Amino acid sequence: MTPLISIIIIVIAAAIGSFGALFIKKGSKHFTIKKPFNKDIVIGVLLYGISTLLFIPALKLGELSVLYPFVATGYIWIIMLSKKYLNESITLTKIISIALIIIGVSFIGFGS
Amino acid sequence: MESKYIAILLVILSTLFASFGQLFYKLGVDKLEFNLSMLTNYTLILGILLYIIAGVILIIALKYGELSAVYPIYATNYIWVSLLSLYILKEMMNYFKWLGVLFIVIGVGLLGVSKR
Repeated sequence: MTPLISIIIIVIAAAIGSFGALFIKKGSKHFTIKKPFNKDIVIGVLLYGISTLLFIPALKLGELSVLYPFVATGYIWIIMLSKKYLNESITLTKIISIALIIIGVSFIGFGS
Repeated sequence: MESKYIAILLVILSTLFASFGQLFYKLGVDKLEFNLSMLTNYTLILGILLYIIAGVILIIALKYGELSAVYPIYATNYIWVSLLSLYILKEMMNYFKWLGVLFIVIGVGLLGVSKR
């Protein structure tokens, strides 16, 4: 049995992780080995850390076959966030690729 | 765009580090005891170090590539983790997992050869 709370936590964690990735992308512009820390990178890493801390216990609470597809919702967040905040173009190819990856991740979950 | 190929290469390199990091982290956690031996749990430390290196490489990859392309390519990590689990941890694979890996390979490959 997979408790509903674990699904909810996974969905939230996936969303937070995607926002973290967004900030890291913004901060990567000014990232250099000599000066690795800037505001966006720090916020991004923090958000990503929070999502990881949420993921690990939540994945233990439930079955991966149910939870992995919800982990994959992070990819959907990324599409929406990069279109809205980074003005990246979301081509049909990208959508198909991401759909395939979501299916793949879900199958890996079913097999776990 | 040339810079895009650099981004893809760097992402895949990052996933390689991340997957080994995950392996050593898992092996290290299995050996973990909550006493001073924690500080010399080199396996765990190595795992964390590999994760950090993976993160730095990913940030550099994002300098050159779009987030909506780079982030999905990170799914390559699942492929490495599956292979590592199979060959090093001797965990069982099954048809579902192989099918999942196949879908990810196709999805990542499609993203890799697309124009943007």
